Formats: sequence, structure tokens, C-alpha cells
Amino acid sequence: MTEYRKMDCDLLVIGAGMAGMVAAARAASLGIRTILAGNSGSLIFVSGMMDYLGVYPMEARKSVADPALGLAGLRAAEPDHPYGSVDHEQILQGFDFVKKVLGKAGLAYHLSGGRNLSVLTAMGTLKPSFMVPKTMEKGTRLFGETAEKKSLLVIDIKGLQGFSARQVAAGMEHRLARVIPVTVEIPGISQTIPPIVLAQLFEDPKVQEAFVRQVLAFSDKVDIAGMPAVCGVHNSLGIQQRLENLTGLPLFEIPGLPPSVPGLRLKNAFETSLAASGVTFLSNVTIKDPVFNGKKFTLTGSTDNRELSISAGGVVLATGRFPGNGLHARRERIVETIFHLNVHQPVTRSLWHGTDFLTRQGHLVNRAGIETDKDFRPLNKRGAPVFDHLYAVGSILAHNDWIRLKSGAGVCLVSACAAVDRFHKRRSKAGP
Amino acid sequence: MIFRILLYGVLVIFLIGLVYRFRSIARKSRFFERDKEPWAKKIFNFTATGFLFNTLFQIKLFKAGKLRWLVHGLVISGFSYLLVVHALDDVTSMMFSWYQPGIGPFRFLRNLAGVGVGLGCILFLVRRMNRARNIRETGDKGGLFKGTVSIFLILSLVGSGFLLEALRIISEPRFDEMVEEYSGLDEAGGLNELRAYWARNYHLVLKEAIPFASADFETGKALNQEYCLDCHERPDPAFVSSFLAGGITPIGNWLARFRVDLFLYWFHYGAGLLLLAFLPFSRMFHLVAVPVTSAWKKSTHVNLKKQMGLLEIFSLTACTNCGFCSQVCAVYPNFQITGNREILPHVKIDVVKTMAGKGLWDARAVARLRSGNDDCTRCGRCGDICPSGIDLVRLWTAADHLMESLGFPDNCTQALGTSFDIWTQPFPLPQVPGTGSSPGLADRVAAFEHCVQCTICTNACPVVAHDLNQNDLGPHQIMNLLRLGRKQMAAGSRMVWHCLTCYACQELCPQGIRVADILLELRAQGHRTAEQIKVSQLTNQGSDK
Amino acid sequence: MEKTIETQVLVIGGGATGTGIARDLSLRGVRVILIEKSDLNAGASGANHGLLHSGARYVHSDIEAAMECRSEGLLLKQIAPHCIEETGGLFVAVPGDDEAYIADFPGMCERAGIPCRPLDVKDAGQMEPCLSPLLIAAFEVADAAIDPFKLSIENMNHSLAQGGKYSNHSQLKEFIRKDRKIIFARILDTKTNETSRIRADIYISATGAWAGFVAAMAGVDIPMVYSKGSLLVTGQRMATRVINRLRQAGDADILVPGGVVSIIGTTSLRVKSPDNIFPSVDEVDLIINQGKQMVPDLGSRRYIRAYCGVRPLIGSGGTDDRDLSRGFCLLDHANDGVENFITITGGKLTTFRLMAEKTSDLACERLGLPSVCRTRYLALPQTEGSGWTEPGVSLGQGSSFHGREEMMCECEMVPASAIDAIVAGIRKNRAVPDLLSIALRSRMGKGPCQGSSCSLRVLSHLYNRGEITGPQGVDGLRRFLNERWKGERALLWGTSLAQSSLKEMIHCGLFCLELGQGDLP
Repeated sequence: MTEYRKMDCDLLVIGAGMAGMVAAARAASLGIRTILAGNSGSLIFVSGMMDYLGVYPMEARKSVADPALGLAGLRAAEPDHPYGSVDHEQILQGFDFVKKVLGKAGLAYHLSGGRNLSVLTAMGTLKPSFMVPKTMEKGTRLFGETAEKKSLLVIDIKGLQGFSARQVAAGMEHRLARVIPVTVEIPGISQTIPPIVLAQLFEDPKVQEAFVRQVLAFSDKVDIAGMPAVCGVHNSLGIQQRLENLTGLPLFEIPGLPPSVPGLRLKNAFETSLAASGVTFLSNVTIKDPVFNGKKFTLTGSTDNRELSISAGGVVLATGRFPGNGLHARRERIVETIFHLNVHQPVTRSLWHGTDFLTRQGHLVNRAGIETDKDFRPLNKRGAPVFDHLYAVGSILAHNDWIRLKSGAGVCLVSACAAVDRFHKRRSKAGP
Repeated sequence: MIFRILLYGVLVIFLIGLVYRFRSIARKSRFFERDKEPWAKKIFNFTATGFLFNTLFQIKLFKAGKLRWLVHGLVISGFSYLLVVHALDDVTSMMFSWYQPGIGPFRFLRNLAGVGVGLGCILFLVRRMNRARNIRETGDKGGLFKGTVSIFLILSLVGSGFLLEALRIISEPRFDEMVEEYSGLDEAGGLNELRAYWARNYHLVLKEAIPFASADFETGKALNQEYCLDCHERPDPAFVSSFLAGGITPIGNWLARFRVDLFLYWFHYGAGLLLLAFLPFSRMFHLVAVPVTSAWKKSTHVNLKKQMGLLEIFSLTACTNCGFCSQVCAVYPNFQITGNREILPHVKIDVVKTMAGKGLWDARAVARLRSGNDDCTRCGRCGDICPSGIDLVRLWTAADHLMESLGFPDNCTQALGTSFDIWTQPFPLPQVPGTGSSPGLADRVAAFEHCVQCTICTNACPVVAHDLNQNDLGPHQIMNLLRLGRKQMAAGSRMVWHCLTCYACQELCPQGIRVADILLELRAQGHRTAEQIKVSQLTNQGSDK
Repeated sequence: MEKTIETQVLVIGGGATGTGIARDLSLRGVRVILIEKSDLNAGASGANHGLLHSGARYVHSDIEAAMECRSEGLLLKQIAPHCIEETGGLFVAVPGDDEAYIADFPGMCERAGIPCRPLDVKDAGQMEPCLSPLLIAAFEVADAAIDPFKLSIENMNHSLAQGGKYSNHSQLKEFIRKDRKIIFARILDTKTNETSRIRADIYISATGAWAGFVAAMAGVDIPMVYSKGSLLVTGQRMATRVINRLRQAGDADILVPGGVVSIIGTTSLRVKSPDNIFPSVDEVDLIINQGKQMVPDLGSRRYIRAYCGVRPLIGSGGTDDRDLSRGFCLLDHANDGVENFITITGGKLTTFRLMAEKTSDLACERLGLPSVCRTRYLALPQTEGSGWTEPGVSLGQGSSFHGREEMMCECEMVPASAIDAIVAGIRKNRAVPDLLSIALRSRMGKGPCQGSSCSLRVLSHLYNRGEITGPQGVDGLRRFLNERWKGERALLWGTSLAQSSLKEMIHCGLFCLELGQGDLP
């Protein structure tokens, strides 16, 4: 701890996952001086697809076609859910905002017109989502009314673990007219290859040509082809178009076992956007020791070898759940790691998890989290906001089993946008 | 007569020494030679400017440190003056009739030169002592005396010279001898008056004080003028000696009685001869070697292997162990962390010298040299600063080849070429003071147990991407091996040895694990294991013979 | 018509005792068949510490058992060294432990003839740095770690080499009795649902906690009480030696190293049935809170798995079930009206050989064969490929070091070649491989990630190899995940919970495995 620096900003966003990135982007778009602190590495773990509300009710064990309908049911039955503070229009605006931000940074997304999209996964299962990378768009059209007339080529790549074309084919056979699995070998790859390394290889025209050579034989036999989501790290859409031109087949990407290339693209795009919009990104800075002096927050940011002091008018807590260490589960109870906020949680650990991993109701621990008011301000035990300008957004919010409801990105982006908007409104009302 | 015999004897030794030295250089250079071509046939890349500037003006030394250049210059110029004018005064006086060692300006100049040389040597020793402290040469048994024999010889030569002069100034027997030889005066002829005059003006110390009278003084002055003044002016210009003479006046009688001046004379003469005889074998040989190394152009990768041999040995002898190289060494921080002195160029060069000189054989020292030389990035800063003009990078590469030919491959080759069983068998850890004792990250469970095997590190690793078919374990697998208590196995993986330390893994780890730091630490551990294996293999070979 | 197989002895139950009996009888030249309803060591033989007792544990409660342990322990170290790691053991006491017991301990050991060396507590701390600095007493004994899976596999292999037969997934459906004898046993193959008959001269039930059920089929009543004991597996090996708490047997008082991990346990909880049990959150907390008194790091370390076994107890007396459980119980049912039926239950892993010897003696007596037990002197041969169950075993294999092999399970370093070998073995038994059956035969999915990634890698590998073709692979994945869940559910806090969340993100969030099939939006 040799250096000591001081920084000042209007809004400090803690956490560089989906919610933190969206919050920072939103703040920048409103002209707020923003610092974002966190580790964006975890974005590499997200699938790259953005869900709104894929399943409701959870017990139905099937996806919901129209998320707006699901939302109505959810808001009625569970008013404490983060979606309880926003409406359908706001959520759609949130998606639109993120789509524009990413588009400006060169990453194209496809936003559904209103109904959930069906995305084919590497397990051969279908996942409902609402906004997917443009490179996955064509796959979502596959399961329309004429599905049983379509034939699909599923391509896997030798050395890429956890993705078997035969497996995807086995899951899809009964839905489509014909599914052909094929394995493509990339020259020089004799062993396992991590997905991101493979994606980098795909930027090499020679690799693309080798891929095309092996796929070309099937172009007359099928209508469309799906491949693992490894179509380049940068300019994925361009590479996909090149492959389509060369093979004469429409192509789409199939998401698989993380680390995920679409997640990396997302991370890169968000970081590009931050840099362009003037947000200070303190990568890998750990935030701790918040102090509030009545007007401003002062927090300490630390890395392995230095510390800095950040003062901020408002703080957005987007630190995530257990994997992001926003919430930390001790043996006896769950705590929030930075502000030591009150965490809504089951009374004992034995209630955290059901006896069945794939249990119908989901695990209660996934509904633990921070309870907030309508403005996404964390509440203390008496039900009042802890601070005027402390907001909690994203997966850290309570009553939000985003995994089971397939609502992860939706909750992140709508809470992030709403919280930042309200911070902005309050600040401008209060005057400079 | 005896002086002559001694002198010629020593000269013969000196010449034989030179011949021996050159012969051994030629012989030892074969250790470095990569092909069968005799060294004489190899191209000598001569650079006249390097030779001139560095040998005559010491420009590299000037760049390295002005003060040190000055001190070095003092010693050299002072010593040259003393050598030419004083030591060879027979020759000098033959050539220049006006030269008289006893008259003012020459006395002064001699003292001045002596002071220059003495001061230079003392400053040298002070600096050497400070360096020893700075780089914590705790393991250095020679300490201050290592490689400084010549300096002590010079110091004693200068010191004895001053003392001798001082003693001769005050010595009555010496005075008597001189009077007898050059004037033949007796008491009646005014010997006492001359004595009194000398006692008053020339610091002569008399056994029995002579009563002083002004008439007598005039007589003494006249006699002095007649007999002495041509060769002996007042001693005051010899500012050191006369100061010393003043200091030893109280015991002057006693010293004179025992003719300590004669003893000192022999000592002074002996020291000079010794220095001469010792020159080919001591660090002073750099007088010969530095011009050679300075005159050699910097080698390129292409011609290095062809030319390896002769120059390496000259380089080794040209080194005066001044330590500038270690001050600028880019991997000095590694030394601070690992405590391996053999990282430092000035220590390395000593070990290489021993190794090349004796054809090895402290296996342990060579193993450490191996680790040290492996840490070297060949940045070239050491060679750039070397006042002796040694192309050090070239020497390190040559040392690599030398060690390889002796059965010491680099640690990476050793680690990756060692079978799993040998690599993981437990070796006793070497006792290097200040290292290895405190548990590092790789020993602290809390440092890696939060790994969730997400493989982001492996996906981000450029080594994995570049070396797809050869690399054995990704960083996340290394973390897992640590969890499984297989630190040793992890330290033998390609990943650890090929890590670029780009820190992408550590930057992206969602769990905040210091992945790259751990890899670095494991490599340090691997160095130690590789050393152990090499030492034990060589020891076993030794016992087989 | 059902297939009928004839043999001299039918052994029911593939645990340590059952395989021990099979080996013992085979070596005596007796024809023997062993049937097991699931797979080797599926019961308590696979759910214990893997501790080879020096005997010191029982010097107070049962001196005879202690002496048995001592002599059997010494013997096993001679005949089966490849299944044993001679770690040595410590008995340590912390403040608050019964001082009278501590004072009596050396004397009790001496009476039982068990070597026991008093240690300075400082020395003990140096020998095992993980120990609490507050120790008040420490003794060194000759405990060792034993791999129960390897032991049973080797016993069975030796029996097979001597002409014995083994049949897994073969469940005993009924005994057909005539008068005072069992004529044959009807066996159900749970994989194919076919039944067959085994006709034997003697029927031996070595079914541990299930002895009551088997006996009931023969019309014999054995009053059984079941005591559940849970154990935790740490992420790393904590100590080089076995560490015992120096007190009367209690909860979480033994920490045993097993390869690259350590195992702490146990608890003792009465349950109604030996089936469908799993460790509870309360038990886990109890074990950790007790265990950290002697090894403080147990309070902060990551755990990777919890599991439990059931101690079969005969009779219902006593207050602490641990006291009841130790001595073994050899029942000759001739007294109950069934002449050719023997039950062996209870006992300890350490004394399994002695139990097998006594049982075999009785069986041979019934058969009228004059024979001598050879297991006391004959070394247990080591066979190839018995070791994929051992934690960290693949680490020692040269092939996975510099030569790169495709890893399937990265936590436990199970390479693709191992999966292929295991699949081939399953195919040999004419069964269809799925994730569960592979996991049973290897360390796959037993590391910290509990199968998050390796399940997917193995599954796609199986599809690629054509071992699985239809959509049932994903169902196998669901079963596998739920099975893993039993062992991790009670341990989810800290990093383990984070890791488990990632698992749920992958398997539910992305792959939607919790949703049913046929659900287009």
C-alpha cells in the first residue's frame, strides 16, 4: 500500500457485471460523472442472451410465450419481486437502451418483437430468451410453425468439450424434419481447445476456409446450420456472414458451456462503450469501508498494491450474488459484503436448499437478497431506505430467482436504468 | 648486486607468468568452443576506436561513474609516474641529467603521486566494502579480501615508500653513511655543524643534541651547499613524508638505531617485485585483458557460436569485479526476492571464472549459477555499463553453452525433461538464508481454495492459445493441483515454465485469485527443484567414478 | 423358465465383509457366488472414514474389540499394503475433555497391548501443524488409512481369480424354503428386470444394515436398529496422520486422511430405515463445530462433499449407538430353524477379515469341509485398474503430466481414457452407461465443482462416441445432478455456494434442465 490517490464523482457504480455495466452506461448517457469499479471478468461467464421473463409460474415447468402476460401474473402474485417496481414499458425501454449501447460499440443484438424467443442450447434443449446476439437470431426462427419441414445441420468442432452435435441432434430430432450432426476438424488442433481460444482462431481466414470446406458438402441437404458460439471474438457478425457466403447456408450460433464467447463479446462491447462515454473504469479495484458524512459517500478502493479514496454523491450497488461476492453466505447466515445491509433470507440454513437439485419450486436461497423500496434503495430492518442515494440493482435483489424465472438480464437492466434515472431526477431536483 | 638478481628473477617470473596465462587462456577457451576450429583462425572483429577510447581514456568508466573514473585515473596516473620516474630512476636519470630524486619538485611530485595512488586504493576498498553491505553478500566468505590482494600490495608499496622516506629523513646513521660516502667530512671538518644544520632544516634526529650557535649554523649551511644541496633540497616538498617524519621524531633515535629504514627499504622493494611477479595471476591482469575486450566488437547471434572461446576467457580476466553491472541489472529484484546471489552479474562472472578455470566443480554453485543465468533477460544493461568493455551478454550465452556441455541444461529444459517420478520425489530444500522459509501463496490454502474452476484464466491465457498442442495444464488446472496438494507436480508443468506473466488470468479471475503470482512462485520453486535434481545427478555421477 | 445357477455358497452383499467372505471361501476351494443389489461398497463399507484402527479407540469401551483391531490392523498392513497408507495416528485432547479419561488412556492401551507413545503437546503441534494450539494431551498410535473401495475390489478380484463369481445389480427377491432349509434364492437383475435362481448349499447374508430384511425373507426375525453416521470430505488433505479426539467416542472426533483429501466424522443419529438417507445441515454444523475444537482449520476450510452410512445395530439397548455397533455379530440361524442360513453383520472395517474368517469357518463346518483359512497369511494381490476410485489417483500417472491428455473431470483429473475404460467395463456387463454408473466407478464429479462441467463434458463425449444416442442422455444428466446434490446440499455456504450457483446458472439458467420437455413457447 504505497500509493494513495483521491477521486471524486457523482455516482459510483460498484460491480462490473451486467447490472453495473448498464448502470454506468445509463449514468454516462445522462451526463453524470461516473466511476465504475469491479471485475468485468465475470461477464465472460454469462451466456450473452438477455432474458425478460422466460418462465412463469415456476411450477409450470415450461416457458411462457408472452413475457408481458407472465409479468402481469408475477406482479400480482409477488409484488416484492424487483419487477414489482417497474412496468412492461420500462422493461422494453431498458432492453432498447442496452441494445443501442451495444450496437454503438459494434455488437449487434436482436430484440424480440414481444414474444419470447426459443434458443437452441448445446444440450439440445430450448431456452426462452428475449434479446439475443444477432449471430443467434436465425436459430430462433427455426421453431416456428413450419419447424417440422425444416432440416438442420448441427456442427460441432473437434476439441471443443461439452458440445456434441449428435447430442443436439438427439434433442431436436422430434421437432424438425431432419437433423444432421457433423464434426468439423480445425487443422492443427489435436487436443482440447478452450472456447475463447477457438473463437480467436476463427478470425483466421485459413480456419474459416477449412471450416467451409467441411460444411460445403451439406449445403444442399439442409436449410440452415447451427454451430457453437465461437464465431470470432471481434466482428462476429462479419465472420458469420463470410461463412454464410462461402457455405451458402444460413448460420446461427448455439450457446454452450461457459466460459462463453458471447459473454466475452459483451464484456468487450461494454468496456468500449464506457471508454467512449467517459466513465472511469477502475478494473479489478475492490471497494470497501464506506463512510457517509451526511452529504457524500467516501469509499476505499484497493488493489494488490495500492489504495485510493473515492468520494461519490451516490452509490449503485451492483455487486451480484454469491459468485460475484456481493452476497456472502456464512455458515449461519447471509451477509452483504460492502455496506452490511440487511439481507432478506430464510431463517435457517436448512431451508436454503431443497432436497432435489432440479426442484420444481427453486431453492429459497435464490430468493434471498436485498429488499428495496420502489426506487431500488435498500431498506433497513424497519423498512426505511438506509441512505437517500444508495441503490441496489441486479441479481443482488431479493425475491428474485432469476435463474428459474429466466429473467436475469431483464432484472439487471431495468433495475439499473430505473435506479440511475431516479438518482438523476432527485439530484437535479435538489439542484447542483 | 642482489637487487639485480632479485629483479631479474622477478622479471623472469613475470614473463613466465604472462606466457602461462596466455597459454591457459588458449587452453581454457576450448571449454567454450563449439566447434573444432582452432581459435586462432576465428575472425577477430577489431574496433580501433573501442580499443583507443576505452583503454586510454576509460570512457566507459567515465560514463559509469565520474568519481570512480577520477579515482581510477588517480591510481593509474600516479602509479605510472611512480613506475617511470621513481622505480626506474636509474633509467630516468640516465636519460635526463637534470633529474634528481632528492630535489624539490620531484620530491613533491613523488609524494603527490603516492598520495593519489594510496587514496585511490583506499577509496576502492571503501567502495567495495559498501557494495558488500549493499547487496547483502552474506554468503561471501572472502568478504573484503577477495580479489583485492593486488590493491593491498599497492597500498603496502605506497605506505612503505612513504615510511621509508620519512625514516630516511630522520635517520642519523643514514646521514652518517651519506656524509661518509659523498664528503668524507669529519668532526674537525665541520661534520657537527652540518649535522646541526640538518637537524634544524632537514628534520634529522640526532642521538645527542648539539649545542647551537649561529656561527656554526653558517658553517653548516656552507657545507650543505657544498656537498649536499645538489642532490638534497629541504624535505618539506615531500609533504607526506616530512609530515610523517615529524610524527615519528620522538622514536626516531630508536628506529634509527635498529636501522628500520633498511628493513623498510627491503620491504618496499620486495612489495614492488611481488606486485610485478603477481601481476599475471591477479586481477591486475586486466591491464592486459581490458584492451583486448575493448577492442572486440559486440557479437551478434550469428557469429557468436562460431567465435565462442578465446574472448570469453579474456572477458573473465578483464573483469575487475567493480560491481557496476549488478547495480544496473534488470533482474536485481529477483535477487531481492529469491536471495540467489548468482543472479547478479558480478557474482555470476566469478562463478563462471571458477567453472571455466577449473573445469567446474562445485555442482551446487553451478546449479545456482544456472538459476541465476536463467533469470537473466539478456537486456544488455550490464555489458553497456561494464568499464572493462566486456560484452557480458555474450558471456552469459557462452556460460549457458558451457553449462550445457557440462551436463547442466537450463532449468526449464531440466524440469520438462525430468520424468514425473524423479521430479516429484521429495528433495530436501536447499538452505538458502532468507528464502524458502516463509510460506508463499502456493502454500496458503486460502490463496487458491476459492477457485471455482470457471476456466476463464485458461481461456484468457496467451500461452495456452499459442501453444495449444504442447501446453499441458491450464492455469485453472494448476490451481486445482494446488488444492490437491500437488505443488511439486504443478511446479513441473509447462504452463508454469512458459508463463509470460502477462497477468491476464489474474486480471480476469472472478474470484480474485492471484493466479499469475502463484505461477511465478511455482516457477521459483521449480528452479530450486531443478537445481536439486542436477546436483544430485552430478553427485551420483561423481560417486560412480 | 428361470435360469438356475448352482453353487456351494451364495453370499449376499458386496461390502467389505461380503467380498472378504467370497475371497476367503474361494481360497479354501469352495465355489462361491456373490450378489449385490447395486454395486460394491454401496452401503456402510463405502460410507465410513476409511480408517484402519490401531485399536486405541476402543480401549475404554470394549477391550476385546480393541485387541481384535490391533491384531487385524497389523495383519492387514502385511497382506494388503497397497490398500493402506501407514499414516500413523494421534490421540489429542483439548481443554474441557475428560481428564480422568486422559490419565487412564495409556494404562488402558497397555492392558490391551496397543503401543501408545505419550507426546509433548508442542511436538504434536509440530508433527501436525493443523492441530489446535490449545492441546492438553497427545499420544501417538499406529492408526492407518485404508481405501475401502480398493479393498473390496481387490478382495473380489482375488475371489474371481480363484473361481468365484460376482453379480452386481442383482437383488435378492426371495428365499424359497423347504422345511428347515432354503432351497434356492430368486434374484432380480435390476438393469434388465429378469429373474433367475441361485441354488446353494449355504446362504450367507453379509448385508450390513439390511440384514434384517434379508433374514425376514428366510423367515427369521433379527431386531435391527439403524444409526446414521455422517462424514464430511474436506477440499484438501488436512494432516498427514489420523487424528482422534482423546475422549469417549463422540461426534466428529476422527479426522482421517484419504489420498488428497481428509474425512471428518461422524455423527450418530437413530433412523427408521437404512434407505434414502442423506446428511442434514444440523449434522454438518455439529461435525464442524466439534471438529474445529481439535483442528481449528476445520472451521474455515472448504468442504466438497458430505455423505453418510448406516450402522447396523442388533438389539435396541444402550444409550450411545456407537458402543453398540462395534462388536460384530455372527448368527447361525440353525437355532432359528433355518439350517443353511448365516447372517454376519455389525463390526468394523478393520476387522472385516476376521469376520470373513469366522463366517467362512462356520460355513465350512456346515458344509462338512475340513478346511483352513488362508487369508491370515496370503497376501492380497494387486490388480490393474482397481484404483479409479481413489482420490488423486490419476495424479500419480505419468501420462497425465507432460503428455497432455483430454481431461473430462478437471477437479479430480479423470482423463477421457479412464472414462472410455470404464464405459468398456460397463458394456462388458451388457449394461448401458450413463453418468451415474460412470461416477460410481471413478472420481468423476467428486471434486469441488460437483459435476458442473465434467457432467457436460462426459455426456457430450458419450454422444460423440455413440455410447448414448437418443434424448435419454439429458435425463441421465438430471439423475446425476440430483445424486450429486445429496452430498453437497448441506455444505453450501461461502465459495461452495458460489460454485453451486454457477452450476445452477449453467444447468438451469442456460440449459433449462429443470423444465420439462416439449414446451415450445
